[in-house]
Amino acid sequence: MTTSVRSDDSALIAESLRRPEAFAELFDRYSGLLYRYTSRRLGPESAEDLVGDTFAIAFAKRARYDTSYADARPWLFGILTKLISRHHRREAARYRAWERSAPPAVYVDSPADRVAEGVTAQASRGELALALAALSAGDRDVLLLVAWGDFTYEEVARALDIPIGTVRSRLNRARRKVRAALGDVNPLEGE
Amino acid sequence: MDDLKMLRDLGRDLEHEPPASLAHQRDRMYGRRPARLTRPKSWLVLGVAAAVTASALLAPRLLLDSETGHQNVLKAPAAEPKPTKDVNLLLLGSDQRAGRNAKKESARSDTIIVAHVPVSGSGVKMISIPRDTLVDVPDCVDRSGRKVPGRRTAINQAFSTGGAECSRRTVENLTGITLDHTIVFGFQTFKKLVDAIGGVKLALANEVVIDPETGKTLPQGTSTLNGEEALGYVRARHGLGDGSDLERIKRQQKLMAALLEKAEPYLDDPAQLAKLANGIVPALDADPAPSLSMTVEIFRTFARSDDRTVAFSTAPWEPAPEDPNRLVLKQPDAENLWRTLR
Repeated sequence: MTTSVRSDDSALIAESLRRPEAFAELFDRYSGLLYRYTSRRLGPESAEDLVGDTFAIAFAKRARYDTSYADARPWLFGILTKLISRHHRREAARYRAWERSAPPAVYVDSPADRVAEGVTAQASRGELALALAALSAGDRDVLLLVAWGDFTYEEVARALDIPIGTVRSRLNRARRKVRAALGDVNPLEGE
Repeated sequence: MDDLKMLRDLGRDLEHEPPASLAHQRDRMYGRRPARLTRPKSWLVLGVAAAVTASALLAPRLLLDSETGHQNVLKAPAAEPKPTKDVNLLLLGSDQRAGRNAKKESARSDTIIVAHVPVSGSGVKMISIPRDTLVDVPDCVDRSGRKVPGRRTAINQAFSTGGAECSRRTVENLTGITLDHTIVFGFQTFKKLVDAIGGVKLALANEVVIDPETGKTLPQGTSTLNGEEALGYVRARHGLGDGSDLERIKRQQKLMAALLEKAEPYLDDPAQLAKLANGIVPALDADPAPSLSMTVEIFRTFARSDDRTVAFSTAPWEPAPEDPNRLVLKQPDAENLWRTLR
């Protein structure tokens, strides 16, 4: 019936109840994506294990998957996020360490100084890393699922199993803190 | 550019590409210790050799390009078989990562081994130099091409300063041995190789915590370690002896011996040997590969030799007079040892 070469994730998961090997296809689809995301938050050392853990848990819980959702990514990222949250101290340490290795801040006197803009963006990234480190675990999860996972509010709500209003309020709070850390002024627009 | 855009840029900076070994995680879905559907491929045995000891055998054909020494590029050899003299190699274990962030995080080399391969192939020696050994590091050139003046410091600083080339010159100064070749092994390579040969068997006197964070432990007694566990074992600092680097060296040596033992049966079978060599080339894939015929030849030399043993030892040392937390090589014992290798 379907003309697509690629079946929906939900179809694969349903099939894997009969034929467990089918679940491997889901791994092949998304393990790289999950790895990259995890490597951003915790570094490459533990990313491999966490991706493995995520799929092991997903496989064990596959019977409970709501197959009305064609896309399994929010589900997988939800499992992954819980695993990452066990390491929130190490995650914060990673961002702080990154900040220490980032170039020092350069302040631009004139917004018209186009040459310095790149430098400033780079410098602000250090501030950004510190701000990330200081966020609460729940706020950070939401912010990074949106910014790095490219998920919609609905998908984040589904991943974290929280109401969509909570997603919005956490995201707003997180972005407010991040912007405050950046000096509350967009350095490139010179508000 | 808004905060989310900046956040995405930061994310890209922090990101690493998935390694090929990620695929191993797939098996875990079907149980923690999946039944192996296929026998480990015989070439995998290469791991044994490649990663550690046989690196010594392979190594004569791997040339460190001095111009790009920082990148630890191993060059394919010019066509020319059979070593005609004893070969001395420097083996460096590096935690340097491949990929985008490789340059950002300064790699360290805490494993420093001088390997001596006699022309006969008999009686290979591998001598570890503790990373905390105080030495005179010569003038080196750092990553950005800047000259860093020589200074007295711990030997592992040489690699962080000027890569494999700086380590080589430091060890040559220290030992008076001409190091014909330098080989750098990453942790990930090591891990893959251990998995490739189907793990290594080790007897542990005590339970060993290999990951303090998750509390993952290896049980007391004899067990077969996979790559991850083997890596955890050699890197572990807690709950093992006095937790020092010297304890770590002992574990590395124990593990290298276990790897060799596992590979040994393959050395007697010419077909397996060819496969072994065949496997080594792709296994060292991260670097430009050495020639296949050469690798086979080196294995043959080792396989035919009277004494296939590899003797592991640690350079004689004593506490440094100027700093009780550091070591210096103990004289004249160290000098006597190096003299036999020159």
